[in-house]
Amino acid sequence: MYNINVGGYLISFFLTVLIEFTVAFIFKYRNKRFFLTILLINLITQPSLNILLWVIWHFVHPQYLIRIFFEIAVVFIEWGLLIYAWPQENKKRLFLLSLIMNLASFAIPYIIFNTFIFRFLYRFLPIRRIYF
Amino acid sequence: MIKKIILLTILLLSCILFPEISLANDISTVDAIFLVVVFFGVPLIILIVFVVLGIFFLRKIRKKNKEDSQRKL
Repeated sequence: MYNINVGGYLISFFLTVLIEFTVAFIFKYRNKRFFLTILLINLITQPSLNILLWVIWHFVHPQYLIRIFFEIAVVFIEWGLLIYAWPQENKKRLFLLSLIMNLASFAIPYIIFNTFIFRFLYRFLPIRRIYF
Repeated sequence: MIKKIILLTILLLSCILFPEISLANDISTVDAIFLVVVFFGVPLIILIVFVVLGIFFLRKIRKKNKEDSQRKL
């Protein structure tokens, strides 16, 4: 069952936003308004993604396919929202930004929390595993 | 009335946060309908609130960006 873990979601949300800020910074979008846009876009997409996953989790299998499908959908939704908020920017560049932001925010926590060290910690310490 | 609302809110939250507890027990049709409403209704409301608020502020950012680009022209 896909459990609602509010603390885990908050950590994953802030980690995602931090990673996306970093990617935007690398793409030379370094003003406050752009960071605010990313934060707002994540406030729309992340709860929606988690709620939809939570609801659909009970009915549809296999689960990793749903996750991949929604992650791809999020790339396009975020792209659309970025174009909406920043109409003067290059659309292809914004798509690339959205794609890399989401790939990074999906892959980096997965890599970090699935390394040997963390697996060892999960086994021996009373800490809860965080799913992204 | 306020007590009822508070109780209902607690019940709703408990059903959201611990759905396995609610579904683990035998439930009547009325409870099942209530749970379905909770399962779909409450997440849908939260979703709508986030989307509406997000788009509202994104519109503000869009307006500011348009003003800035017009100023530059």
